[in-house]
Amino acid sequence: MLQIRIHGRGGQGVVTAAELLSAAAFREERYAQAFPSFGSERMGAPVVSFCRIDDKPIRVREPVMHPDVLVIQDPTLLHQVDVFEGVGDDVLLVINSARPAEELGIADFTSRLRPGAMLTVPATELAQQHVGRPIPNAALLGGFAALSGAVSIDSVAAAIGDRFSAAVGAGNIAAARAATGRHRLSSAVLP
Amino acid sequence: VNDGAPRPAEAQPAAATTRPAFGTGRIGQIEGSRGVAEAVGLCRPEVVCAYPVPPQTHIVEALATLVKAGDLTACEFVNVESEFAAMSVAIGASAAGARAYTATASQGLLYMTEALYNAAGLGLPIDEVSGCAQTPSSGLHLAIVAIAGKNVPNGTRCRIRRPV
Repeated sequence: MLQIRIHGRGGQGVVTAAELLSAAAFREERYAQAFPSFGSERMGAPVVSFCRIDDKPIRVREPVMHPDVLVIQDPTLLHQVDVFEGVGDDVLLVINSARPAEELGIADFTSRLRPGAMLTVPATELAQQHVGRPIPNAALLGGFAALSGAVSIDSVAAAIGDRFSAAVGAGNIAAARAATGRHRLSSAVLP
Repeated sequence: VNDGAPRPAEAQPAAATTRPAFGTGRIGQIEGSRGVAEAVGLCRPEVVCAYPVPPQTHIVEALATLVKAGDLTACEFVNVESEFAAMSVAIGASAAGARAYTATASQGLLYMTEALYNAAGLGLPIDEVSGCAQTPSSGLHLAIVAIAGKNVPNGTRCRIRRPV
C-alpha cells in the first residue's frame, strides 16, 4: 500500500489534490481512498489530507501517520508545522518551491533521504501561468506522478478533467503536464 | 443509483481472489458523503433539514441536489438557520408523521443539544448522521450521543450515527 500525506493551507486545494489522486489511481483499476483532516476551517490555516493506493481493498480508515510520499503545497509550512512527523528515511518528497531544495533550510531532514527521492516543483508559478490562479495542487500532482510513478500523468489529467469544467480542467491539466518537465531534483540527493 | 445497473445483491458474487470487473456499472468511485446522501435518498425521506457544517456539508448538499433535480420526490429540503432549528424542524416533521432526516457535525451537534433531548424524550423517529471533525468538541460529541441515547425509550427508532 502506498500512503500519501499532503500538507498545505486552506484554499490551496489540499483536499481536492488527495481526491484527484485517488480518482487517478481508481482509473488505473486500483483501490484508493482520500480524506482530509478537519480542523478549524479558514483560508490560510494549515490543512492535511491523505490518500492511500493499493492493489487490494483498503480497510484502514485512520490518518496517514507514516507516509511513503509527502507532498508540501506551501513551503512556509516547513518551519511552522512538523510536516516530517512520522516520516522515515525512505520517503519520497515533493515540495512546491521555485527555489532549489538546498535553500529551503531542511537539510537536516533531506540529507537522510535516498538519492533522487526529493523534487521541487514551481507549482504556484505554473498554476498562475496555466490556470490564472495560485492553486498549486494540479502541478504538484504532475510532480508526484513524475517522481513516484505510482499513477500516470494521463490518469491524473483524466481525473482533473472529470472534476472540473472544461476551461478550468484544461488549465489544470496543462499545469500538471508542465510540472512533469519543470520539476527539479535536488542536486544534493542526486546519485 | 438509479442508472439501471444491477444492484450488488443481484450481481453475481465474485470469487474472493477476483477483483470486481470495472466498467460494468457495478463498481465506481464515490465520495463518502455522496454515498450517505444516496443511501438516505433510497430511504425516501419526506423532510430533510440541515445547516451546513463540515464535514457533513457534502451530505446535505448532495441531498439538496437530489431534491432539486427531481431524483428525490415527495421530499422537502428545508434550509434552516441553525442546528438547533434543524433538529427542531425534524422534531416537528416527525411529530406530524413525516420521515425526517438531518445531519450535523461537531460544534453543530453541541448547538443542537437542547433539541436532541426533546427528540429523544418524545421518542420520535428521526435519523441523523453526525460527522466528526478534529476539534475539541469531539469528546463531548461522544458524550452527548451517549446521554441522548440513554433517553430513548425502548422500541423507538431515534438514533444517532457516527459515520466517521
